[in-house]
Amino acid sequence: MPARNGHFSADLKPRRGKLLRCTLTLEDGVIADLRFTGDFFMMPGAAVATLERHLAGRTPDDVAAAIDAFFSQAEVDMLGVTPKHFVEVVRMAIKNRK
Amino acid sequence: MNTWRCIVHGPADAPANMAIDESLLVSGTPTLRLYTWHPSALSIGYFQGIREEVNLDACERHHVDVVRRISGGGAVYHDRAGEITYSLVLPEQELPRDVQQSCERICTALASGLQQLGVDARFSPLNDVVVNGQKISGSAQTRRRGHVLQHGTVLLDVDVALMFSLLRVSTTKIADKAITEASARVTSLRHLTGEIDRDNVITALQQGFADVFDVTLQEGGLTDDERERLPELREKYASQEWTFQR
Repeated sequence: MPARNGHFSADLKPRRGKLLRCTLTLEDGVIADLRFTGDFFMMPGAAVATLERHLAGRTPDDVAAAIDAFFSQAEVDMLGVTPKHFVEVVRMAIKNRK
Repeated sequence: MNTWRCIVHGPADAPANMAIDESLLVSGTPTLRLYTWHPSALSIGYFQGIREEVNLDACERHHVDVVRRISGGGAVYHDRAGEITYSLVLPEQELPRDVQQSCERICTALASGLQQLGVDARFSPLNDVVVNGQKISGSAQTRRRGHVLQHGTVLLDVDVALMFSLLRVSTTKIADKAITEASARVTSLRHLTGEIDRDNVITALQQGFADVFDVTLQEGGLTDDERERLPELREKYASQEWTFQR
């Protein structure tokens, strides 16, 4: 059974890409807090905080669709990571309790 | 042939240097800026977690400032004697729309400048310039309201052991391994040419940008508007709120 509470974290370093780290907190099976850090490029920079807020309050099962929806609407330029890397690193993090 | 402003000046501290770059980005006037840092500083990328990346105790011990950049990318050590930093501000339409292609164009200008110093410098994706496969320059880019800022470092001399002591590494064993690996991946003009004449390097970099972008550089300074923004921006970059936001 998937964990419903706790702190989780994972690093993703795509081949020829940049480091993307996800740190998140689950409370009662819902994302209470989530941060993306790393040496990737995203422009405008404020978009990452918008994405983090967009994911707060969602369940892990909803994350992939929420990230896809965010990047389909946001005007964001990136280097070193892609939208699928954000989906992947959250999935990895949820399996990796700190 | 277009004319760009070129600002060359002596050392400033980390918050002042980042404030000037952001003020230039707001203006969007085509500008090449070449500068140094005093005291030495570690700049981290906008998205990096400071406690994940930086050995804050070591920075304090070595009197190295820590500043968060407005651009993404990784942590960069700006030694007060061992590097020159460049920043370039252009309207977006003067560069390829694609971030990678625009980064390549600017890094090609850096490489062209370094080639004039007799080193075989080449762009290396995603955001580096290398000589014989070893990194001599790294860059970071951001964009705002139709303007592009790319800034980065050109290594004149490098103390890899000091550089790594400022970054977070978990054990001595890993640190030793990392230093060995980094030494093999990083080079400097002193290592390659045996000498550093800062003025020659600046002249060569200016020529590289002039050649690749087919522009004339005209030495200048900040405008009144750009200066007026500095105190508030400097305060931001010096603040704990900005530096420790991630």
